[in-house]
Amino acid sequence: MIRCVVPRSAGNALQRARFFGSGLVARKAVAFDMPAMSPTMTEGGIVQWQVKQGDSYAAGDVLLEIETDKAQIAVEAQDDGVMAKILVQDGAKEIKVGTPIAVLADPGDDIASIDFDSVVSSAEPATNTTSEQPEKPVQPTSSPEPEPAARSTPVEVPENMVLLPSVYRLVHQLEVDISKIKGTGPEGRILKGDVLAAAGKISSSWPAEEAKIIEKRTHLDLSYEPAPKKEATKPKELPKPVITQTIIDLAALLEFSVDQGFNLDQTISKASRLATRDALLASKPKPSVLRDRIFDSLTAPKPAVPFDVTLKVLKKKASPKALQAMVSVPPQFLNRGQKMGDIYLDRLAFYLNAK
Amino acid sequence: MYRLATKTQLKRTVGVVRPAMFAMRSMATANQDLDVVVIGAGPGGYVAAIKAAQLGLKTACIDKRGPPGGTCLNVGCIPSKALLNNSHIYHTIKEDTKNRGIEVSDAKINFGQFMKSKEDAVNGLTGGVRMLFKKNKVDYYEGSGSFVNENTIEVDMNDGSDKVTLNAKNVIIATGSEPTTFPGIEIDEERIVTSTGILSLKEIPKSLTIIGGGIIGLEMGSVWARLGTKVTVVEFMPSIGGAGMDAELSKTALKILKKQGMNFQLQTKVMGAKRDGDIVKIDVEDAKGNKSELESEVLLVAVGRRPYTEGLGLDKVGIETDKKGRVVMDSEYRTKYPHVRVIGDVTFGPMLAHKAEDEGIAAAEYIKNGYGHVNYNVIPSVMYTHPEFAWVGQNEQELKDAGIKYNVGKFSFAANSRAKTNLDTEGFVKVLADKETDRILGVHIAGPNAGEMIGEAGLALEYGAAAEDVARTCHAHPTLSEALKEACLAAFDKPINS
Ligand SMILES: Cc1cc2nc3c(=O)[nH]c(=O)nc-3n(C[C@H](O)[C@H](O)[C@H](O)COP(=O)(O)OP(=O)(O)OC[C@H]3O[C@@H](n4cnc5c(N)ncnc54)[C@H](O)[C@@H]3O)c2cc1C
Repeated sequence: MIRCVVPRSAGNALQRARFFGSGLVARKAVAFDMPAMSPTMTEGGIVQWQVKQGDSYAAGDVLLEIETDKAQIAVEAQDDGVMAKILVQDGAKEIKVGTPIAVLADPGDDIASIDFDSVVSSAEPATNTTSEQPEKPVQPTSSPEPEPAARSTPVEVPENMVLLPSVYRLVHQLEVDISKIKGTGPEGRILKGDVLAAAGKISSSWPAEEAKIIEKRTHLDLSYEPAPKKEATKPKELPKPVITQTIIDLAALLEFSVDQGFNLDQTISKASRLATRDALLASKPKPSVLRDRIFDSLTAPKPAVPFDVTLKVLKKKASPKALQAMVSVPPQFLNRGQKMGDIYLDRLAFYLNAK
Repeated sequence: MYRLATKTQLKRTVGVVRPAMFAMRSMATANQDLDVVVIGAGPGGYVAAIKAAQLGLKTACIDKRGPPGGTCLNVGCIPSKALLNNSHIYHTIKEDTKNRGIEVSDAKINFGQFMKSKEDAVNGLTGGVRMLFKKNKVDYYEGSGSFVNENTIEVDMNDGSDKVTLNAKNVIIATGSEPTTFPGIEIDEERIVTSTGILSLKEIPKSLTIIGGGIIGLEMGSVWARLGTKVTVVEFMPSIGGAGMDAELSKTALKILKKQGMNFQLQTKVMGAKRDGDIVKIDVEDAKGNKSELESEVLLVAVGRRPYTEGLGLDKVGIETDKKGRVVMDSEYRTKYPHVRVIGDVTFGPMLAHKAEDEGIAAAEYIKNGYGHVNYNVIPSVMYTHPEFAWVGQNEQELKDAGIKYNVGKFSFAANSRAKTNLDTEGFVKVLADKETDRILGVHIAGPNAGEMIGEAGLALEYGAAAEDVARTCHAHPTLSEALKEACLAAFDKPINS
C-alpha cells in the first residue's frame, strides 16, 4: 500500500497534493475532496475512513484509504485537525476526483457552528471533469505501480505547474496531453525527452532507461576489496628488550676485603644501588625555578628506572672471582634507558673496584 | 570551555596550579556527554559539526592540526589557490598588460610577502571557522581523537593538558587523507616535497620536477612556472589531468600548459630519486625502456592521496577499512555501527572538498532527520590553472562505455564576446546531451572562469535539464556564460554566434 500526504485544506486536493509542504494559511473549515493520487486517476472508491466524525487527528495520521484502478492508497493528513463531517461513507465507489468527501476543521474549532452547506458549495469544482476515461474495473488491492504522490497532474497544463522551457514549447507545438505523461526526471519532473517520447518522436522507453542509468550514477560505488588480513595466525612478535652485559673482575675487591664481616652480596647490592642513583641523576633535567622540592616530593611520581639489572657472581673453583652484570632495557624505554644502562654499568664497576 | 573546568578541578584537589602539572598528569578528567562528536575539522568535519549544531545537536569537533579547516584550508585548496591567483597576476603583469596599454616597468616578486599573502588567506579562513564554531556553539578540541569504544572518544590534547573523554551518541569520522608516498623516495619536505612542502618553499627554485600530472601537480607546476622555475612533469600515463578528465580537455590542457613553458615527459616511469646536496636526482624510464636521469632543485611527489586513519583506533572498535585504506560504509555513511558515520576523503568517492562538505551536511541530517542527499552524478571537478578546466557529469568516454548516443555542442571562447573583450579567448565549452532526449549528460569547459561557470552546468544536471532548457534561459551579455548557452544551442540546434 502506498502512503500519501494530503494537506488539510484539500479543497482542491488534485492540485495541492503536489505542494504538500506549502503551509496554507486558510484556517477555516474546508471541504476535503476526493484526491487524485496519480496523473491518470479520475475517480476512486473509499475503502475505509480511519478517523470517525468528530475525531481529532494529527499530521501524519491516516485519514482514510482509497482505492484507484491501480492501487489502494492510505491518505495521510498534512496538518493537525478535526474530522468535522464525513460526507461520503466507507465502501462508496466511483467517486469523481474533486468531489467533496468530508469537511475538515482546525483543532479547537466549534464544529456545531460550521455551515457545512456553504463549505461544500464553496469548494472548487473538480478540475478534470473534462477527462472521460473509459470505466475500468476496480481492483481493490492490486499490486500498486508506485507513483510518487507529488505527481498528480490534471489534463491541461495547470497554472501552478512549472514546466521546463523545452517542455512548454513541445507541449504546445506537438499538442500533447501533459496529464498523460509520467516524468522521468529527478523527483518525477517531466523532461523534454518525456514529451518527445509521449508524442512518438523518440523511443518510448528510452527516457526511463536513461533515467535509470543516471540514477545509478547519483550513488557512490561502495564496492570494495577488503584489506589483506593482518597475519593474525602468527603469534605477535613482541618487541624485544635490549641487553647489554659486562663482566666485572672482583679480584681487586676481594683482595682488600679480607676483614671479618665482609659480605660480598651486600657489597654488590650497595654498589648497584649507588650506580642506579648515579645513572638516574646523570639524566635528570635541570630543575626549574618554578619547582618546589617539597611540593614535588609529595606529588611527583618516583622516577622509574628504565632498565632491569641481573647480577650474577661467577664462581671459579669455589672462590668468587668475577661478577656478571647484565642490563636489560625494555622496549618502551629504549631511548633513555640505553644510555642510563651504560652509565649504570660504568658506575657499578667503579664502586666495586674503588673499595 | 573544558579547560576552565579542568583548572577549577585542579585547584580544588591540590590547591596550586603549576604548569608542570599539566604534563605530568595524564588521566582523563573532563567528561562530556554529546550528541555528536566529529573527528577531523576539514571541510567534511567542520561543516558536519556546524550543521549538527544548527540542527540542535550538542556537538564537539576534534582536530589535531590545531587550526581547523583540514587539508583544504591549511595545506590544500586555499593556499594553492592563493599562490595560483597571485602568480597569475604577476605573470599577467609581466607578459600581458603591455598589450593592454598598461606599462609596469619593474614587476618583481617579493617572495616573503608573496608567501605571507598566502598565509594571510589561510589564517583568515581558519580563523573564520573558529568563529563559526563559537557562533554555533560547537566545542572545538585541538588534539588527537581516538576511539576508546564505539561511544567514547578520547582526546589527547595538543597542549599537553589532561586528556579529555567525550561520550558520544553519534560519531562522525572525517579524518581526511594524506599524500601518497612513492616507494623508495624519501620525503624531506625541503627538496623532496609533497603538496604540503611545495606550498611553503623557502625560495623560488630554478628547477622543479613533478611526479604525477594530476590536478595538484599541474596547478603547482603552473605556480612555479609563472615565477620563472623550469618545470618538468613526469607522468606514467599518456595523458594528463587524471582519470576523470575528458580526453579533449586533457589534450587541450597539455597543449596550453606546454605553450606556457611547462615540460612534459609522458608515459615515463619514475624508478627512484635521491637528494644529493642541494639537488635531487631522479631516475626515469620512458615507454621504450630508455633510462635517463633528471636533475632539479626540487622534486614534488604528487601521485595522489590516500585515506588517513592513523591513531584513530579503528581496530579497537573493529571498524573496517578496505584495501585502499578507505573506511567502509553504507549509502547513509554508516560504518558497522549505525551511530558511527564517515565522510570525506577518508571514505569512498572523489577526494574533493565540496564532496566532503555536502556529505558533512547529509550525515548531520541523517542523524537528525533520517534523511540526507548528495547527488554523486553532479560533483564538479575544477583545475585552477589558467585557463581553468572544469567538468561535471559524464565525459565522452563514459558515455561511449555506457552505450549512450549523444550530441556534442561545442562553443569556443574565441567566439564569445566577453572573452574577446578580455583578450582571454583560449578554450571552449562542450556540452554532451542525449541524442534523443536532449538531456544534458555532461559539461566540459576549458576556459577563463570555468570553475565558476560549472556551477550553472551542475544545476542543469541536478534538475534534469535538456540542452534546450539552458539555451532558452536568458544569460547576461556580455558574459562568458553565454558560451555555455551557445554550446547548449549547438547541442540541439545551431549556435547563433559561430
Ligand atoms: C594541494 C591541494 C590542493 C587541493 N585543491 C583542492 C581544490 O581546489 N578543490 C577541492 O575540492 N579539493 C582540493 N583538494 C582536496 C581537499 O583538500 C580535500 O578533498 C579535502 O580537504 C577533504 O576534506 P576532509 O574533511 O575529508 O579531510 P581533510 O581536509 O583532510 O581534514 C581531515 C582533518 O582531520 C584531522 N585528523 C585526522 N585524524 C585525526 C585524529 N585522529 N584526531 C583529530 N584530528 C584528526 C586532520 O588533522 C585534518 O585536519 C586539494 C588538496 C591538496 C593537497
